[in-house]
Amino acid sequence: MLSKIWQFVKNLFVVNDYVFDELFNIDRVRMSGKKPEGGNQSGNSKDPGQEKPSDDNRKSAFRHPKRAYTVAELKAKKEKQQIGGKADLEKLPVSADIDINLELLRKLFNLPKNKDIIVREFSIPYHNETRAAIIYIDGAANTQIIDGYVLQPLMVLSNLNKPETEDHNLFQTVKNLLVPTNQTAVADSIKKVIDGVVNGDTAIIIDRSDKVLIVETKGWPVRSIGDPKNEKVTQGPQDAFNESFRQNLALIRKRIRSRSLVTEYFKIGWRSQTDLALLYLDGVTNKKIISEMRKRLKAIKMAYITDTGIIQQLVGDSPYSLIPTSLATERPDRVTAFLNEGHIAIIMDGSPFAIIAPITIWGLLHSPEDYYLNPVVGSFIRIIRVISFFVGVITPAFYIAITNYHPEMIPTDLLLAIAASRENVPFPVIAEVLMMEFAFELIREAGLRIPSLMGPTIGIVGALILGQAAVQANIVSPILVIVVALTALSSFTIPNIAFSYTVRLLRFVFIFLASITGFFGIAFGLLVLTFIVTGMKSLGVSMLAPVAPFRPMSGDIVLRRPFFSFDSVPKYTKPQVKFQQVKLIRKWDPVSRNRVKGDS
Amino acid sequence: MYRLKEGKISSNGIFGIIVILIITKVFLGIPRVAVQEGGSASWLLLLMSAGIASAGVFIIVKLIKKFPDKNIVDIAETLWGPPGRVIVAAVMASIFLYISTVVVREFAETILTTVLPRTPISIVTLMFVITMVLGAYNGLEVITRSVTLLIPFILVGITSILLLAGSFIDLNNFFPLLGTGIDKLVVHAPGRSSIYIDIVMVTLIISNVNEPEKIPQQVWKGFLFSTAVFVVVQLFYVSILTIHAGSKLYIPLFQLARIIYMGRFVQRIEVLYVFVWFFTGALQLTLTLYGAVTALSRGFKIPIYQPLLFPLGLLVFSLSFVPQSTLHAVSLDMNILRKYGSLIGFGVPAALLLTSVVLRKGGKTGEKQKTN
Repeated sequence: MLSKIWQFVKNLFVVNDYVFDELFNIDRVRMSGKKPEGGNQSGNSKDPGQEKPSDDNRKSAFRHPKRAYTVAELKAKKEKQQIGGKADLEKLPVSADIDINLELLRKLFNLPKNKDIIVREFSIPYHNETRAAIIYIDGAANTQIIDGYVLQPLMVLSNLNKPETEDHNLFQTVKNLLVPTNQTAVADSIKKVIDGVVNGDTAIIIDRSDKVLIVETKGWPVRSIGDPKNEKVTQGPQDAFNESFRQNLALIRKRIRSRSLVTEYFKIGWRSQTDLALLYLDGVTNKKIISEMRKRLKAIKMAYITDTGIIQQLVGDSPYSLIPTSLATERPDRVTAFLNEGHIAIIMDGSPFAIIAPITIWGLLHSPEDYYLNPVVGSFIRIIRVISFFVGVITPAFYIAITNYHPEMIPTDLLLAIAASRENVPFPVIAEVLMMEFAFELIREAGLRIPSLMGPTIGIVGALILGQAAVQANIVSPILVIVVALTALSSFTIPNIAFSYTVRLLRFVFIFLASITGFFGIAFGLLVLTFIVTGMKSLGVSMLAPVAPFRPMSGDIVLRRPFFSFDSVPKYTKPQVKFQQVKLIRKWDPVSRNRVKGDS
Repeated sequence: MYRLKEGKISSNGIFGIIVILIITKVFLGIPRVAVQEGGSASWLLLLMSAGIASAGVFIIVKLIKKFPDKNIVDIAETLWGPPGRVIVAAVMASIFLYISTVVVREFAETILTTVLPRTPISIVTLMFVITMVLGAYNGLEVITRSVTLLIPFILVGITSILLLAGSFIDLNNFFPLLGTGIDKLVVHAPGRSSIYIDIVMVTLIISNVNEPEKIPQQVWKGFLFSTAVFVVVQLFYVSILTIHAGSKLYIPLFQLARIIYMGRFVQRIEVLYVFVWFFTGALQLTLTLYGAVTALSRGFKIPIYQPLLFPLGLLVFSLSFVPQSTLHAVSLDMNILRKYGSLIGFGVPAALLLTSVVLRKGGKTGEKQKTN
């Protein structure tokens, strides 16, 4: 943190060459393609006297020096090489001698220490009782598939119809005739065999064959599809992602049955080899957004990754920012809606949350329910949510500012009521507010961590401490209890978890500012926040788009237009398509017909 | 955090920038000074000064049209050579530094007088300067977007003051219609055209605008809109507070907010307007500080302006304490800057335009000669 501050201060005085690096911005890409402004427009770019644009001059003047490795990178390299001790063995091709292959694999899999790697040797009666073996991981592979579709055909059924010729290619027969499983792959190196086995597949090694057959037998333990835990709706789909990669993808595929839905696979983490998919709609999503995200994903070089939350921090635009620059959701319907509007989604094995980018502040305040209800109701709950954002951030600060700095603006009766309630309280307002907010944060954190059996306890203790007892003991005033309760309720209305943390933390910043300079401090905080948010980008898209910069809106910011007038796709992601529905859906309705005529 | 690109803005952004740069004065002394000089015809005085300022705006627009791909320091170099570049840059930077310094002091004093009587002025000034530096550091794109986002709130704020205080309107206060007399109006109007000199900022940021050919239209729109705001506020001010009270108030609009009384519950809500005050003031100051550093960095061909920000911010902070008293600061603003400022603010572009006409330089002129 100190070094960060020092870097900031240094940057006020010193010019580093990397400041000329262009941040990714889809707006700018479009602009650079435009004609240069001014008089010298018409095709005289070859004119030697003409000056180049200043940006180009800057770039050529400042070249990046070759960067030395950081300590962390060196360590990572070293660790890679340590793996490489056995990595040399991994690179060997598959031998035609089954004993060599098995010895090599046993060594690499640390057998016999490693108890869940199963090596089962047997013979295939089909052709001269050829020796063979299968390798799989107990628990990762489905043993019923192995028994019924691998071992049974090879050991028993192959006995029935033996070939007559001597020079027979047993490997091809096994692959094409004997193993009736849906996916197979041929591995010619030990590394590929290992990759298959650790992914839950079964490797069939056959003597006198220099190839190994990898058979799809994945059988990881997975949770069944359940309700969304954090993004509940009253009306709308009730299924949510779980930790299974394939099931999550299937939930999306089920909703978009189109060939244009592309799922690009990546393997993230050189040790964990976690599956990750980048989802987008071919022909809809802006290609620059896709290639930028692809670039960022490929840049991830880590040993392991456990959740998409880490991916969010690795590929996000402002890693230190309190406001999230990508959206994590557990709802497949949400992902579907965003994909259709030209966003991209990321799904990772082992994580029940999909990431959506680019995202705007408005997207963080929306809930899928807004769309499923009547537009008036949808708009109403959105307005409530926007108000509650400000209430959650500012109310305690507002209370401090009014009581400490601007008591004149409170009507006399209310002023007297507040004064009377505070008469017996020995602490200054700021101490009172901080105590109560802290107590509330404790309850919230405890409520999350407490075993569910003891859950009700926390409610009783919390309500008693925060409410009655604190007031009766003259530690806090009753009005403050209302203030804290109001802020707590407000922060729970934010549909996005990361964004509700933003509200929680910003509240303390504003409490601090209000305690120094009252309303002036709050105004200061709001303007600084505006500067920060207007400068933020999510995958090249301004976080406040389409309000600032102002773009033609799709009627889906705070107020929501009815669905029959959502004819165009939001333009801020610069999608490749313009429309997502026909102009007049309700042809049979004279009112709608008249309205569309009026629009055009 | 290292967002050191200045960013491009759309031509619509120019409208917001001009409105913010100009209407800030409505919160400071302009309504009072106008009443002092024009009496009940103060709105006419402002209208006349806008008429005179429109000549200055015309000059600026003409200059932009003549050199659509150059900012004012480049134009100066083309016409007057390298010394011209340095001189114009220094003059521009000085104007904006002067505006920043005086206005930051005035706003700090305003905040102190109205809502924070016991807070040291250095704290308030420091908070203003932090906002200015932070905003300008993030570049023109961020400032313009913030302006676009906040202008509706500011306008709603002003409108609500006028409407809520509107219950005290007395139309008799408009009479006599010519106020202090047509001769005095004519004498004072040219000086008050200095209210609009901040428009010269546009000539510095031409290269940051996406469609330069649309700038003139936006400049005129911004100018007319700001004039309308001035005149409307002045009309309300004179008719509500009378010329006697109106000529003696330190912070005119604050007084309007203060007399709001809509039943027992909605009264004394003037502190709420601190938000409008601060947003407007800080945005204008951010823009003027940005103008000062841009003028310097472009004038001296420094590729980025950010390293200049901190020193200049410090300079503004220190210089704002130079005026000995509130009245001294107000007089530096109203009796010097907003009286003679147009000589420099509009004078420099006028001189450049004159030179270009005499020397027959500039894109459009050349084209015209060809077509003729």
